[in-house]
Amino acid sequence: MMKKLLKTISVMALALLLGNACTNDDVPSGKVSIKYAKLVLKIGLPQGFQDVDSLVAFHVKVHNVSTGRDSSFTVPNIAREAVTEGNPPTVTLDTLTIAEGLYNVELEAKAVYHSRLKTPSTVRGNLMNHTIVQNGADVASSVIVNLFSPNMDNGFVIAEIHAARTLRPSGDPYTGDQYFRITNNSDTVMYADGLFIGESAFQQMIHQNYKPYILDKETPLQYLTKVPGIHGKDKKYPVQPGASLIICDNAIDHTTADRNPNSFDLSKADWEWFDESTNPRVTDIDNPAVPNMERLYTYSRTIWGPHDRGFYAYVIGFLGVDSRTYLTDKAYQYDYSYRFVYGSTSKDMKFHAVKIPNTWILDAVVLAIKDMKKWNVISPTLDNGYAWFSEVDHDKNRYGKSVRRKYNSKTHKLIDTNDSQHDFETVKANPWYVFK
Amino acid sequence: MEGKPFYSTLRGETEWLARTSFISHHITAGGEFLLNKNYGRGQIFDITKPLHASTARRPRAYKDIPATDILSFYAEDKATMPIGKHQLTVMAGLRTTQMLNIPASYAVHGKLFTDTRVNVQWDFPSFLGFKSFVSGGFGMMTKMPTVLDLYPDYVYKDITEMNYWDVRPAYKRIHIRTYKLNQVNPDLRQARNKKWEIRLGIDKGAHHFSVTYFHEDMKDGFRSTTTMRPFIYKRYDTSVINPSALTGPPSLASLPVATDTLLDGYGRTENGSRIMKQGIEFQYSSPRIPVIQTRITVNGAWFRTLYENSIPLFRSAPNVVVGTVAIADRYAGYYKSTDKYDKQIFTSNFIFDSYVDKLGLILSATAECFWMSNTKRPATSSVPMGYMDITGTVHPYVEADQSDPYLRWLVLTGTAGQDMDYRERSYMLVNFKATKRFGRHLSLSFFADRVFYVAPDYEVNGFIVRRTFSPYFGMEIGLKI
Repeated sequence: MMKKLLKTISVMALALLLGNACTNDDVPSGKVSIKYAKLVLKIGLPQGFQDVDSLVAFHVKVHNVSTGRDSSFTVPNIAREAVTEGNPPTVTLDTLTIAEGLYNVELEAKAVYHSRLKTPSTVRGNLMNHTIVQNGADVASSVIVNLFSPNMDNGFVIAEIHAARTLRPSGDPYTGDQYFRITNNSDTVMYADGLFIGESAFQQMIHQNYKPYILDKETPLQYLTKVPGIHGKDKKYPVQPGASLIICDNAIDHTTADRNPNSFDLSKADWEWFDESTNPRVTDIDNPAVPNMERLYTYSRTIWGPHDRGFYAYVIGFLGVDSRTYLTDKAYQYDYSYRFVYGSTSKDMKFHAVKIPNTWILDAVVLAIKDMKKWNVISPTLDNGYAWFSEVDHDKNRYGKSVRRKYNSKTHKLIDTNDSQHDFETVKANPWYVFK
Repeated sequence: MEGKPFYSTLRGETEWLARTSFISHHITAGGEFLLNKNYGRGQIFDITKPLHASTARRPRAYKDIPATDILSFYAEDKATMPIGKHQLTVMAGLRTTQMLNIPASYAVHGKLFTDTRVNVQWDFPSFLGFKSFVSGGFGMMTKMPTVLDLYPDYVYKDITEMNYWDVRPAYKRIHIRTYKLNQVNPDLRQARNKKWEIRLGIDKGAHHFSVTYFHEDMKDGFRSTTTMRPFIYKRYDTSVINPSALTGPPSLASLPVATDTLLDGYGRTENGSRIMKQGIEFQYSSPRIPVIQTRITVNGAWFRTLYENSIPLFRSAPNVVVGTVAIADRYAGYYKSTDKYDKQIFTSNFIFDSYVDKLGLILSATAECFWMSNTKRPATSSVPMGYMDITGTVHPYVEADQSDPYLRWLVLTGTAGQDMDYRERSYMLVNFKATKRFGRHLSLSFFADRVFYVAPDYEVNGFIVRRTFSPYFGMEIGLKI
């Protein structure tokens, strides 16, 4: 009996010993340990922040691009005294200990001004695709994220973009009913004469290091069309406060039996874009009852429509010069290049495009596939986020959907914080939807 | 689609031996007649209901294309003459080619093309057991254009002059002007390839060695080029139409009309390509080495190919529209060089054949060595040397034009203007083969290719390129009856 007990105990002891030998505190060979790095997060305060007394409710979101994990924290108050001089002046927010990897950092705070006449306004900061590598156990690297005041105008805004098109009852896509809804979000009558819509030259799914980098001041475009008339001079198209405009592909009733009952009746649209061509293969529909947009520039002689999977950014605004000057002046021509590397080949690929100054832009919306915004195709000061209607690339469920701006029923205004992730929702498309 | 192809060849040949004093001749002479034609009707479809809305094709019956008739005659003499202890062999030949059934307006009509071929070999007398020879040759080959080069189909250029849409389908109207273009190039000539080579050979017993150098060049190869020309058309202004006043489709006479011009290009075949090839080939084979009963063979080659267009070419401008100006309608660039490449490759093989006669077995191992390959694609023109405007006049393209809001689009983008060189690194593959003979009629082989390989990784632009080759196996049965 004693012998048996002794045997059992010794077996158990042996098992424990062996077991413990396997659970070693050291990292066994073959397993990769995650390295943590110290990162000093600083914010930069460029020009225009001199009269800011303090930054309150400083919300920081750190997004790990590789793992998809987010971590956020809030700093309640940063006072002017904490600012260190420099170019730009900086403030150290915090020292983070985070795993090595690729990160995006988003900041948002409320700036409280010295002058009581200025109401506190939202400020933002944005840093994309920053690599953090540990260079030693206690070595800290630092990064400065510059803050900016997003331009949140209350005039014309893009209220809805329907780019996916609709499905016929047979299940095939139907083309012709893409539209933009633009709303007067202010309290005064505005005039739509000369209002332009542009499609960005760069798209979400192709990220290259384009040179020269101009996004901070200008936006490269591949398509630009405008409402007839000259802004500031003509007053042919007044838009009441809260009223909307519909600008679409073909302004006809698409719901007839020979077309697509699943589509919409766009015959009452305000303008249609008509791509006139001498090529019979490119025969666009021009409804004589609906005025046409004036096309300023297109990259292709085919019938245009916004990209139906949602890869580009769209801007609206007014030209600062007349059409003729815009089309012929060198200031609006953009020649760019990027380095193409494939195997042993490394070449500079060159392209021509057009561009507009960001000061002409009233509102902008970036589109991307859900969770797949990788880089800024236009300046983040125009749109800090993105809206989506595709959950995956070639999403079969995207047809009939659009992105629409959210409505604040208390203030009776559309929400516009220049962050489409915050301002837009994915809905079933309806050009005549009534906001309530 | 109805095709009734008919291919026929008729050939007659005679051969005889002759002797003139100390020269023995082996003479061959003959003639060949080739006739090819398709008697079918080609694509058959209702022209008002084409297969696809964007097609501009009109049907063309195959039997409307004239037949290919080529008549050739040839004569060759192989003369052997001993000169002291040496021997001189001269093989000289002549071949004439003529295309029949060609309309009189064509440059190739009624022309007789003569190709000469000469091969000369000088065999040296045996010296210390070495038998050597030197040979050289020169030859021409004329290539005739194909039927599609000579008789291309018409090109149809459709231009929309008026496009009026109405919500009432019966009131819609579209008016198209079509140009039917004949893109025949009657000046199309034959392409001629000239080649010469020199070879050196030395044998001793069962050792054989030879090395050859050749060079060939063709400067007038066939190429499809773009002919650019202005097309005049009318523009009808439909914006004046009042839909509520219509009682039917709008009449053209009621609309304001303006005359306009646009540029477009269509293809035709010209003699505009150059291909130059040169190379060195060598081969050495040993006798069976007694102890291991193995024969070693080493062969290898270096080749170089140069291809380029030999005439400047027009290209259509990009499809952009700046304001109301569709650049490709208004301007077309004329570029000096549109494509060129220079390729070189050097490979060699080491073959070991072991004979195990007692077992009737032959074991073979081959090492295929790929030493070097590179392709140079020098920069093609990105800036045009000239441009055509809608009057059809070609103007020189100057530096200032690169800033012109419309002409700047004629500077080609993408990789144009940059050289695209490509290099493949060396690698070696090893193959094995075993052949067994059964009696005199049957042989069975088993082979395993790419069993081993040596393909070192290399680094390019920060990327490591790793190559792998998968082995494959097979069996062969040979039956000799």
